[in-house]
Amino acid sequence: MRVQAFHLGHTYLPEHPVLHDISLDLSPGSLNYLIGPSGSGKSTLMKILFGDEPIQTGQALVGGWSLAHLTDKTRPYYRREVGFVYQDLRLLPAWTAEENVCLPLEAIGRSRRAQRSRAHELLHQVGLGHHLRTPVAQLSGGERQRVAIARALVHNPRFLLADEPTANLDPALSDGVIELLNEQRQRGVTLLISTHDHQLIKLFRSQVYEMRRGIISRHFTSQLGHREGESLSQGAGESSHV
Amino acid sequence: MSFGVLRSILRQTLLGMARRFTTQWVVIACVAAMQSIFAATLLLTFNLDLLSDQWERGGDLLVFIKPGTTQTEYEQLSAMIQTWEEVENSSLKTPRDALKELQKSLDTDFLETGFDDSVLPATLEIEFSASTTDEEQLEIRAKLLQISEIDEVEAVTEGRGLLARLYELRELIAVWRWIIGAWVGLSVMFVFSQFVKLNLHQRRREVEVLSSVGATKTFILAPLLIEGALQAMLGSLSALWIVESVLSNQRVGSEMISDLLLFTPSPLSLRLSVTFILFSTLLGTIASWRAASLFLKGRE
Repeated sequence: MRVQAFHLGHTYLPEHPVLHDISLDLSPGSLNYLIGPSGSGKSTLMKILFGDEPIQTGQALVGGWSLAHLTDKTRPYYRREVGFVYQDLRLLPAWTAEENVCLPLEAIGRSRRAQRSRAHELLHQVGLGHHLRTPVAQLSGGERQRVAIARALVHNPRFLLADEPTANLDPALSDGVIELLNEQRQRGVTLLISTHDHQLIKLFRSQVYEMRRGIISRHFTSQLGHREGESLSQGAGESSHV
Repeated sequence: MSFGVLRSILRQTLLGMARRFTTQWVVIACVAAMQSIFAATLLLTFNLDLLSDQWERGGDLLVFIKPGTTQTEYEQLSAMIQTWEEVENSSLKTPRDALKELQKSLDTDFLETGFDDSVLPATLEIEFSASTTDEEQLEIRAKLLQISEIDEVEAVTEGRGLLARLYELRELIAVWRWIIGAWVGLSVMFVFSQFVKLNLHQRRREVEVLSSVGATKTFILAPLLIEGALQAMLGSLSALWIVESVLSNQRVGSEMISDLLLFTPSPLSLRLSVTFILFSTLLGTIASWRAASLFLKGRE
C-alpha cells in the first residue's frame, strides 16, 4: 500500500505547531523509520496516518483512502486495512492473549472458528503458542509486545504503523520485534516504525525520516550494520526467544 | 449489518454481562425494587377497575320489595314501572335470584342446602333514561315518581352513590399511578444512565481498543443497549414476580377483601404485564443509548 503525505501541518495549541509542512512518500512493501527526539512530532504524524487525529492542513493518501475526507462512519473501515502497534500496547489485561488477538476479527464479524484459527497461527508465529489462554496481565513485557503485534497483524493490514514498539525492551527483544515486523514486508505490507533507538535502523535496509521540531530534517537510506557490542546474527538469533 | 457482525455483537453482549456478573445483579435488583412500586400501583388500579365493573351492574335506583309479595305482584309491579317514560330499563331480582347471585359472587355453594332464600329481599333495579350518578337527582326522581308510596315497596335506595365514590377513588389512584409511573420511569432512566456511565468508565479501555481495531460505533454501542434492555426486562419481570407473590401469599388480606367487598383481587392481566415489561425494556434501552452516545461523543 502506498502512503503519501503532502504538506501536513498540525497544532494542538495556537502558535505552537507540532507538525509543519511534512511530506513523505512510502512505497508499497517498504520499511520506514521515523526517528527523532521526544516532542519532535513522530507520534502525532503516526496518529494522523492512522486516522486518530484529523488532518488540519495538507493531505494524506493511504492506498485508496484520502485521510482528509475520513468521517466517523468511514474511519472504522479504513482501520480495517491498517494496523497499529501502540506504544502503550492497548491490550486488555483481563482478557487472554487469544481473545485480545481475536478482537479485530470479532469487530468485522468473522466466525469464532476463523478467528481462533487465525489467532493461533499468529500467536504460534510470534512464539506464544503456549500462552493462548493466558490472561495478558500474566505475561511478561516482551510477550505482551508480541501479543500487540499479533493483534495488529491478525486482519492482514496492508499498512502497519508501530509507535515505539521497542520502548522498554532490551536490545535482543527489540531486534526480535523489528525482525517480526520486517517479515510482513513479504506480504507487501508497508511499515512505518517510530523509534528512539538508532541501532534498530541498521538491522534492515530501510528509509529513515528524521524529525526535529515538527519537520522532517533529514531523509536517508539506512546502512546495514551491527549493534554495538554484538553481532546481528546474535540479535536475530535471540529474537525467537523474545 | 451482516449476520456475522450481529452474531459478534450478541457474543460480546453475553461475554460482557458474564464478566460483570455481580454488577448485573445489583442493577437488576435496583430496577426491580423501583418497578415493584409501579407494579403495585398498577395492580391496585387494575383491581379497582374490576371491582367497579362488578359493582356497576346495579341500576340507578334499588327498590326493596316487602317480604311476602307474590310472584304475580312482583311481575305487575315491574310491568307498571316499565311503562313509565323516564325508565329506561328495570330488572327484577327475586329472593331466589338474589341467593344465586350471592353464591356466584362468593364462588361457593355452601348456601345451597338448608338455606331459606326468603331471608333475602326481592329487589327491583331501575335505570333511568338520562342516567345520572348524582344522588340528589335520583332521590328527587324517586320522590316524583312516588315509588315509595307503592304498597309492595319497602324501601328505595339509590344504587350509584357507593359506585361514584369508588370511581372517585379509582380516578385519584389513576392520577397517582401516572405520577408514580413517571417518577419510577425517570428513576429507572437515571439508574441506567449512571450504570452505563460506570460500565463505560470500567470498559473505556475496551471501547478505545475496539475503536482502534476497526469496530464501528454500532458495534461498540449495540452490546450496551442490549445489556440495558435485558437488565430492564429482567428487572421488570422480577418486580412483577415480587408483587404477584405478595398478592398470592397474603391470605388474610385477600380473605378480608373478599368478605367485605365480595371481591377477590386478581393478578395483573397478561396484556398489562406484557405492556409493563415492554415499556420498561424501552426505558432501559433509551437510557443506555443516551448515556453511551454522550460518552462516545465526549471521547470524540
